[in-house]
Amino acid sequence: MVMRLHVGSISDYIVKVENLKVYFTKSGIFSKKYIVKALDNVTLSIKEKEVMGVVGESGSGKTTLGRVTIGLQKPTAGNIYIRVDKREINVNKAKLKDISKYVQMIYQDPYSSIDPIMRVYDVLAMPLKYKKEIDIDGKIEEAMRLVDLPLELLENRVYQLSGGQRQRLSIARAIVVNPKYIVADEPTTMLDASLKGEILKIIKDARESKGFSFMFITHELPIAKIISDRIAVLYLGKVVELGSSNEIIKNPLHPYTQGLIEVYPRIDPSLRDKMKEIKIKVRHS
Amino acid sequence: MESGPSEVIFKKPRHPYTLLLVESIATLDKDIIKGIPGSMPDLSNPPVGCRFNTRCPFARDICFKEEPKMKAFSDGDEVACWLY
Repeated sequence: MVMRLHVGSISDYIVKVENLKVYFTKSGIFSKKYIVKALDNVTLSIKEKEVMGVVGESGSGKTTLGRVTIGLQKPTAGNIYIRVDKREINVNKAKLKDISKYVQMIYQDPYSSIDPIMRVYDVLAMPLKYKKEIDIDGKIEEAMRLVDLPLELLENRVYQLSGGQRQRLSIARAIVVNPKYIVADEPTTMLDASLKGEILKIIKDARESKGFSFMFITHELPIAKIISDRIAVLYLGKVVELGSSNEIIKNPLHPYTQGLIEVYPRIDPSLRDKMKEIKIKVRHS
Repeated sequence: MESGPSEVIFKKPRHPYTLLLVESIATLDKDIIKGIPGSMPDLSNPPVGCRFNTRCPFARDICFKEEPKMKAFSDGDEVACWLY
């Protein structure tokens, strides 16, 4: 792994992932069993108020990493710790229902991640009831304000909302319990360009005002650069490069990162015919 | 709203809607993307005059009264906007 040394100590972390391995066994009725190493020896930490961008192609293990860090998936080996009020919680050993008030997730598809026939109010009230929150209405109002949704929508059903409004609601559902750490798994991928900026702004503002730490999973490098403090580049289950966003984009060291940056389309049409050669070679065995 | 050669649309778009759309595309040299404020109006009850008037930063009185007609430019661009 290419790692730049001056990215700060890891003593002030909120989330710490150590030598994480997630292996899946694949087998059919007639075929032999084989092992897929979705994540192989991943070590990283996320600081308080930090947005860690995780980039890589489809199948590189981004979503698995996100899911494991909030306990939705058990790792084959390795440890995940979350620090809450000077306490260290081992995510592997904790029960999901005990840690759900500290960790939350925002999904890619706002059409399938929220029950469409629920009332907006109930979508936000349910996690608060599990947390045994007393001031449910106050917390809901605050979350709606943070994601810039009008309070009149609370009585509406989810199917009446637009795609952008639904994604705002799924962010509100994550932040309403005031967690420590949120995994945002491609939250802008399903949205058109005019809405991406707004969603990024909401996440930035929520981080500033409430101090959440984020893992922001995306395959769009420009989005990762805009939102993240640091970026981890994942390839076939391994972190191949980790560093500050600006440095990763301006001066990528790993050939895979360089390839990812070069293949990104430029919007200037005059560059259309000047395709750069990508230095990644395919070796046939 | 606007139609023309890709070079014009991306490098010097004339319609405010095109401009905002191009500006909201994330590229590696941007540190922030703004997006277009507000949301799409109800299509069963579209705004009177220019359809973009509810979200346009340059909207003037005429934009709320009359629908602009397509105007052609020498670079091949066509725009329906009261700014031109």
